[in-house]
Amino acid sequence: MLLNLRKYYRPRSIEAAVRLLSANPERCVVLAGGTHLLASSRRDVEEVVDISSLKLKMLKRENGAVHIGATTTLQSILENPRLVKFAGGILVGACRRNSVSRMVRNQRTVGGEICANWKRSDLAAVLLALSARVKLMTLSLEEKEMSISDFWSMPAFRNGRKGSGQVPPGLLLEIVVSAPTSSCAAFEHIEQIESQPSLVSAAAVLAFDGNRQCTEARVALGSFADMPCRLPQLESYLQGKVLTPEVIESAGSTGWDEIRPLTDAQASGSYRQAIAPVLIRRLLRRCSKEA
Amino acid sequence: MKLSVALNAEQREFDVPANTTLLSLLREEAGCFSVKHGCETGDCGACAVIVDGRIVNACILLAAQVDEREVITVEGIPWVMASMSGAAQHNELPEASDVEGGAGHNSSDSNAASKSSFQNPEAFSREEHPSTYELLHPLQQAFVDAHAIQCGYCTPGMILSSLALFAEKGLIELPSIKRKTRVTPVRRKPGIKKLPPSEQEVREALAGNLCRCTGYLKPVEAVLRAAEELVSEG
Repeated sequence: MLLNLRKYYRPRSIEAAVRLLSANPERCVVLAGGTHLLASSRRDVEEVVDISSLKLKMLKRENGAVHIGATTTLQSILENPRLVKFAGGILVGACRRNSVSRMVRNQRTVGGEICANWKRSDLAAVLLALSARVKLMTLSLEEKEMSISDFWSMPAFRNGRKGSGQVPPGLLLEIVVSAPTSSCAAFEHIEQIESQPSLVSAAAVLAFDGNRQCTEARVALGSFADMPCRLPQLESYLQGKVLTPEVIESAGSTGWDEIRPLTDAQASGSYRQAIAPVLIRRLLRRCSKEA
Repeated sequence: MKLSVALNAEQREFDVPANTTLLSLLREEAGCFSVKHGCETGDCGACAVIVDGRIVNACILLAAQVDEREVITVEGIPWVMASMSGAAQHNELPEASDVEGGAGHNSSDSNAASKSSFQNPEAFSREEHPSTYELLHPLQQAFVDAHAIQCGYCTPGMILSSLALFAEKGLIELPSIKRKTRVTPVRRKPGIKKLPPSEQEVREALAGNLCRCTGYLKPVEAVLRAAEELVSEG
């Protein structure tokens, strides 16, 4: 429960929502599905801006890319028959994995997952591997488009929003996801029990040429470090290689020097360090079968 | 803040603080005690309610978020029953005297009243339809018959999760006094038989409802039994 919440707004336009957010940026937050915010019991929140009336709930495919509105629920992505096979099914897989509860998936939005739960979200790792782009309306009412990694690099995310007095970057409007042609994708995760969040999740999108050589590799980890991360050393190692068992074996131990694993109540850093290469090898084995 | 919520066939007005959750509104303001207070973090499903045809957790939803929307709790099941299949359904309502604790009013009057309320759902109330309020929905009856209830704390949430599944599968249609939004049932060509949900679908639908005493085998059995009954009734 938000003990100090005093005001609730449900604006009808994006401009009105942004003005409300910019009027009191330190105490006013966006309310989408509310599953993270209401469960958090934050004391610093005095005003919420409910964005459910901004018509941001949409899903469409244009030129091979999927446009997902910020207030689209995870359940509606699951139920969309046109997305079942998109990007090897990893987008739908990450939405299903997010929560076993249909109730939660009916409420939880993609925008909320990116803005409020991005550090521990499987969906965040999948979107990073898919090189998703985000569109947002800044507090100065400018529409911007940027990569999802640049979005998370903004000060509000870098330093942690919660109670830190950080100004939000603006209002997230849309996520655009495209899968490269002739690519294969895979998603792996490990958790204590199915209903728990993943201890580590990994997603890969690999493109191959006619000789089954890897031409492009994007590998991302979620819940591994303090933010979802790509593995650039591993990605460059995979370039031009055929995914033989030897390559997969050595790929699993490549590129770990650059990231410090997270230690928290769910798992130690050393456990994450030990399990992540296993997930990477599983991903590559699955991709090698599809290549 | 002032809210207007379509709650179980009735348009209700509330005036509550902005930080009131839907759970608090339903229990403390609306008297819907079937909605249970559990974890307050959306994990247990004891507070499940149907909002605009979708099953959600009332504890992680602000009351203000359901302003001008439609909410169904277990207290609204008689209304769901009355509008399930129109006049044909109501002709099968038993005599009031057949129902334990029935109000003992004239059954033909009851049927006539139910038909009229089906056409005019706003008029549906316990006073007008006491016999319907004494009946159990096939789903509720199946929970009793399958011994799927022990302490009963999780049962309202399970009933509503199952109802939402049945609506999604097209076995029932959730009524609405607004008729603006409703759950979209599976599109089925005319003449094709309704199919009950599979065990896997039932398990997925109940995955967010935690039970600490009976377990899950009996509730799943109850839902499958009710689905079969609804399919056989057509």
